[in-house]
Amino acid sequence: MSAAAVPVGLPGAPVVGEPILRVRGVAHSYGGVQAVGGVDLDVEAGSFVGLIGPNGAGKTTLLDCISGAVRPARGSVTFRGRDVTGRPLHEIARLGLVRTFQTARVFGRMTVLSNQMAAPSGQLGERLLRAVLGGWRLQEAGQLADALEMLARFDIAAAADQYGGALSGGQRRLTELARSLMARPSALLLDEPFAGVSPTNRRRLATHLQTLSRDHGITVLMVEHRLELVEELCQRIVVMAEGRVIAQGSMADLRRNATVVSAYLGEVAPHAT
Amino acid sequence: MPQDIPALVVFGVVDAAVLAIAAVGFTLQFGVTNYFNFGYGEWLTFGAFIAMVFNGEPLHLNIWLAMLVAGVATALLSFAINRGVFMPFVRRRPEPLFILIVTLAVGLLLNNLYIAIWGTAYHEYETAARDVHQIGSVTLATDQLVFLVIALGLMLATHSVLAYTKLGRSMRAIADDRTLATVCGLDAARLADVTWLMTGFMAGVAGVILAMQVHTFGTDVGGNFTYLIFPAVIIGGIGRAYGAMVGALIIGLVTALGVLVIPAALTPTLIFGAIVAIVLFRPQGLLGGLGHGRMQES
Amino acid sequence: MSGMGFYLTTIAVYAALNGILVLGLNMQFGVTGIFNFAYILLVAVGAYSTGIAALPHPIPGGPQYVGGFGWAFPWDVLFGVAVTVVFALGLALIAFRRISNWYLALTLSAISWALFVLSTNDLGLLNGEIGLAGIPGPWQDVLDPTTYQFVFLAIAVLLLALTYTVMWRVERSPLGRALRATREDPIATASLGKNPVRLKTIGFLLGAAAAGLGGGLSAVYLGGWSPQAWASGETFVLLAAVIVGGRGWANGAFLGSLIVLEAIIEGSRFLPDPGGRPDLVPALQSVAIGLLLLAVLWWRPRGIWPEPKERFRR
Repeated sequence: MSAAAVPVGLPGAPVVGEPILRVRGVAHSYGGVQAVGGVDLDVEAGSFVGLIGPNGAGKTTLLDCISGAVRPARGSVTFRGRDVTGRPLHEIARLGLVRTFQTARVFGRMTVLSNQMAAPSGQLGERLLRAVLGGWRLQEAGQLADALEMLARFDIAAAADQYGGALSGGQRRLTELARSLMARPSALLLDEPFAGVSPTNRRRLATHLQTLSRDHGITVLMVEHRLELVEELCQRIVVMAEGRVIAQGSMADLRRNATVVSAYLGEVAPHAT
Repeated sequence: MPQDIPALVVFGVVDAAVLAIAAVGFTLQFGVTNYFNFGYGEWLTFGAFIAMVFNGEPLHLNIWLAMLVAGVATALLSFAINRGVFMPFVRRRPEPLFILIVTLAVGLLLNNLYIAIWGTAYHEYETAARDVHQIGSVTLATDQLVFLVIALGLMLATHSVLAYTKLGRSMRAIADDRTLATVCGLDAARLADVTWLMTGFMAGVAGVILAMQVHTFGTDVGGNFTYLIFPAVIIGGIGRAYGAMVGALIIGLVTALGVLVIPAALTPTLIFGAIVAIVLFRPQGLLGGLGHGRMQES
Repeated sequence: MSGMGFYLTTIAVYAALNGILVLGLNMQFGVTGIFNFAYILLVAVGAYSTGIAALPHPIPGGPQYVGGFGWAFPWDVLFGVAVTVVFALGLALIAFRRISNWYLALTLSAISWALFVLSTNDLGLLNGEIGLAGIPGPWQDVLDPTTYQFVFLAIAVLLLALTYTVMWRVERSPLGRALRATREDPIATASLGKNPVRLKTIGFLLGAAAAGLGGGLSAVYLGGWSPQAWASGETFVLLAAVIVGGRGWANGAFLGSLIVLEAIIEGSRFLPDPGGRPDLVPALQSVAIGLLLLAVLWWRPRGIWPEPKERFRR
């Protein structure tokens, strides 16, 4: 069994041509400060979209609104044709939209392998009666094979029996990402997945992400600051500043866009084309 | 059972007075240190007994002076426990779980220390004969009037500190956003020191007033009072000093006026109901700000 | 049976009942991560409901309480367990969705206190300060004291084994893993599609069932239950047991219950004579437990027998 992107939740693949994720007019404030002020965003199925912008632009808040971590004050979020606005985090994840966090949230007092095994949904052994009476071991054995394969794929198999809390920053990221994939998402929201990752692991991670998108068709929306990686991985890039989307397009397009350059790219040393 | 409302309201306010002092102390300390002191009741008991030591043989100090001494003594105890036990533990084991249990354990140890020193008998202060005053239909003892004055004074002092001093601004800042405050250079340790001193003083004074109100008290006097402190803080909004004042007033009035509708023995149900109502409809408390959305840490 | 015999079997019964209680708290606190500082409230609910189920209908002029169905064992205890679980469900529905972990600790403590005070007020609910007395034990009226002692011990040990088995199996299962995940990081757990509130509730109810069982059996064995039996210090002893032994798994928790119980027993035997201050003995016991707890938290925070890593056969 391979960890292919078998869509979970709704039967059948999303309608070709319609975006898998559609955000309309989403806004949210934190105690009087407007973090996100009316964002429209479409993400096509299978695409790899980058979300960039200066600090405080509202990128993480937008992810929070989309993933259900926060109920947006205004606007709507549609995932796979379903209105998921304001639904809680776990419900949206169940539909196939899984997110990672700015600081990798691994389960500290559980091993890396346990982290993986905790992720899949529909585990028979998670029901109380089954847990007590038994009858889940067969399913778990299959899951174990998946988990080990996933760890091998991310080159962290050696750390399988280490506590999540004992891992390095890069290993945590990989663990969190591998774990997210065990939940069989059809779309991933990544919040600065490369932050705090060593250069070698960066390469590794970038390759993994590329494979996910190209070979497995998983949709990715990634918030990231390292523009060279964004350029390498993303087909389309969305720029946010002060809670709004100010531009979208390829990196080349954006470099020609004066607003973007002054708001954001001007802050960062321009990358040699 | 007095049936006239003004009298009940006054009694409720007097009850609320000591509760307010205790509740404000409790919630201010939480706001600054970010953990609850589950042994807080023993701070009050300490105050009550220190006053007894000075008020009784052989010193026979006037009860109000003894109260002052008790406040200072409790402040010092508070400071010492924070420096000696809480801070080292937080540094060694920063998980919030641990410190909560440590506060429980410290409370337990303190309580047993009191039993070891002062036994399980009940005590009373030596006060001058209580004279009473008539205000309209209400009969109030002088002591109770003084309680009100002390409580008002401490509330005003708290307000002044919070609103007008640098210390107060720091306390509010760290209560609102801990990470931001420390990043901005706020010395959390020194602020904690001062807070434990301040709230320790308030707890000590509250303990003495409490002991005076119940007349005969034992080593369980402070611990039992947490039955009212926690709800007051929950209703007002944890970490909010003004919330604690409001919460205390509400609890005081509800328990006093509650006897109009239900038998006195059933008043705990009103408290239970108030807690449930707050948790269901306004978990951040009456004066708590709106939450930052759904995601919550710990 | 000789005096020594009675003493030993009584200790054994206490050990078994204590074990059940500690296993329940471990499931809530150690495995699921709920700071239930008011666990004793659930024990009391179990004890009281078993009591009112077992006692005969209250007669005017006698102790006043609600209920009084006159049920025999095991129906009285089963009733106690059921009421406790329903009560715990009520608490969970009210509090779990909305508030964070340590706010929950404060709230549960506050609720526990309010209900404790209510129970002491003489109201005819649960006979106030005096509490319930004369609760009949299983076949107590037909057995001689010695046989009854052994029968009860057998029942207690059996139910302990049952509780242990259920807790162990849950801990080793994917459900246990999900509960631990909720303990470690409820938000990350939610991001994987699992509802942390639902998981917390399951762990809470499982622990509550054990609390009700232990409480009910205690009420039956002691023959009564009063507010003194569940003063707030009692949760601390159970909490200490869970933490000292090794929280998060049944073995550690059970070890903890034995250690703390042992500390209490030996403490009262070998402590220096307090010099005519009998009220000091329980106080010294509490001090011993408190210091032991602090020592463990400082030097061995995972407990004396820490929760092991989850291992898979591969």
